[in-house]
Amino acid sequence: MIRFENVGMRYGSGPEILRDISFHIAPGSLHFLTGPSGAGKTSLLKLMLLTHRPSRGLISLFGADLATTPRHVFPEIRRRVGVVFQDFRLLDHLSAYDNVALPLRVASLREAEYRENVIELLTWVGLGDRIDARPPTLSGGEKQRVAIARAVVAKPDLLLADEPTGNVDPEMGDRLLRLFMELNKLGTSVIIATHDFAILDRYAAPEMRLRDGYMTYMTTVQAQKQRERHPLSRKRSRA
Amino acid sequence: MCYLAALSLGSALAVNRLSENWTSDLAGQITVTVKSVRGVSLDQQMDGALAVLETTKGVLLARAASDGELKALLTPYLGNSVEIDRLPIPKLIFVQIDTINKPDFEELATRLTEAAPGAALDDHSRWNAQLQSFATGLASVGLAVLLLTTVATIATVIYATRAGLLANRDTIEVLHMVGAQDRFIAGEFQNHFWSLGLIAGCIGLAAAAITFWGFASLTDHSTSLLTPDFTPTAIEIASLLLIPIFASLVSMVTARLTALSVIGQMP
Ligand SMILES: Nc1ncnc2c1ncn2[C@@H]1O[C@H](COP(=O)(O)OP(=O)(O)OP(=O)(O)O)[C@@H](O)[C@H]1O
Ligand SMILES: [Mg+2]
Repeated sequence: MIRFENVGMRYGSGPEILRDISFHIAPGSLHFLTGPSGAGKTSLLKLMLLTHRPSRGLISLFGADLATTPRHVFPEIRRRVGVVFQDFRLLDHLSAYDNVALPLRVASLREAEYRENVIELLTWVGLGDRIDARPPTLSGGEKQRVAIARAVVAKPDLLLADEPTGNVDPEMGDRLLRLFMELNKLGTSVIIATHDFAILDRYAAPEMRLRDGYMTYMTTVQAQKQRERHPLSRKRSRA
Repeated sequence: MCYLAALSLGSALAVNRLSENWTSDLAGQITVTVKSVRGVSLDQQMDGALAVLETTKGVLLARAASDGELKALLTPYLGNSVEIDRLPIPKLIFVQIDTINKPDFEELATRLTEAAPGAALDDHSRWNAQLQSFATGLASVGLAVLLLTTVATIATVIYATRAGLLANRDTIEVLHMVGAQDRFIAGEFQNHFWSLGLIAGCIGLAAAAITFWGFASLTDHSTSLLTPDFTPTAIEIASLLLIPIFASLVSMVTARLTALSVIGQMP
């Protein structure tokens, strides 16, 4: 479903911050994306969101080679992708409800079709009483939950979550992850970028680890063994 | 902008109407001058000319100017104390013609000289043509101003749309990332500028209406032939009402095209 082959990426004319990245993500799979701060996790997600172009290599999304895909097809691809940004990216002039409904609205759905769905989802993430609040009046964790609701509301084929539990307490973090897992069971491919070892330990999934611009792909078993060997250390050996 | 547009369109229309009044006034009136010629008496010539005129198709009325009228015409030049009879001045015949079925002026002129060798036909066409081109000139200045304001409106909207788009870069990026098409985003801007254009158009028109009303009450049309009548006709009111609609259409289309081209350059 997603295929990267020898992909490199740089910002402007700066150094390559991602090099020789190759991996494949199957439909309905779950992956973790890890690596120290500044390793390029967010940048990798930007490539999958079509907001940045690779400086080399081949990316294919849902069977479409991005290098040859015309720009006007991008919205169609992006509608199949839900994303939780590390910095949320909510629209400040819209209410929580309208922010969550945005992907449905731009897909020209009528409000009558989705209204209940959106409210139910907001209630599920614990924001049932903050439906009309604007993002500037929400706490960091509340904003994060709105962002998550927006990412999952259209039941995307691919869900990209960048540190989705960074701003909430462990209990709420658990609840949000269950939402992702639920979606995953229904067939959505999920990629979660995180530093949170608790999450990695709880859910068995392959891990894509970024370091110095290179990626190491570890199967579920390899990743578990790795973590057992260094249970408390954040320092990872170069594979 | 819309104020200027309404003002210039209104003036162009008024001047246009004025020139129509002038030309139709003058076109309905011609004069025949009868000069004294050796061998034929002036009265004889007058009788001949009047006879010709009365039998000409398209002539509604032919009337010799009385001595009093001639005197009145000449006093500005010659002063009050002149005795007309003593001067070898030509006589005049005022002719009212049918503006729809005009007589054939060339034929009329030849028949007049046959009947009265000193008669000359003046159909005012020279004076008429000059007035006409003067009025046309005024009206085209008005239209040029209208054109300029349109261009200026377009330029302003382009600038405002660009600024708006750049200020909302983050919003546009988010809209893109949740799968919005360029059309959708451009639509939001387009709607904004449509309503803006409509509001501005109405305000401009209202201001122009007040201005015209002011002009109309300052200049008394009945005493001054040269000032246009600023009271608009129904058709003119309709075309003035088109200004706000035209303005908002121009703003909307400009905003849409600008937005599409700017957004198209964003990721
Ligand atoms: N817009 C940008 N322009 C230039 N350099 C950038 C830009 N965004 C990120 N970088 C650089 O690219 C590298 C990778 O950044 P990225 O945000 O992908 O890291 P990350 O793995 O998501 O880090 P974190 O865990 O802190 O979120 C960093 O060195 C960063 O400074
Ligand atoms: Mg990041």
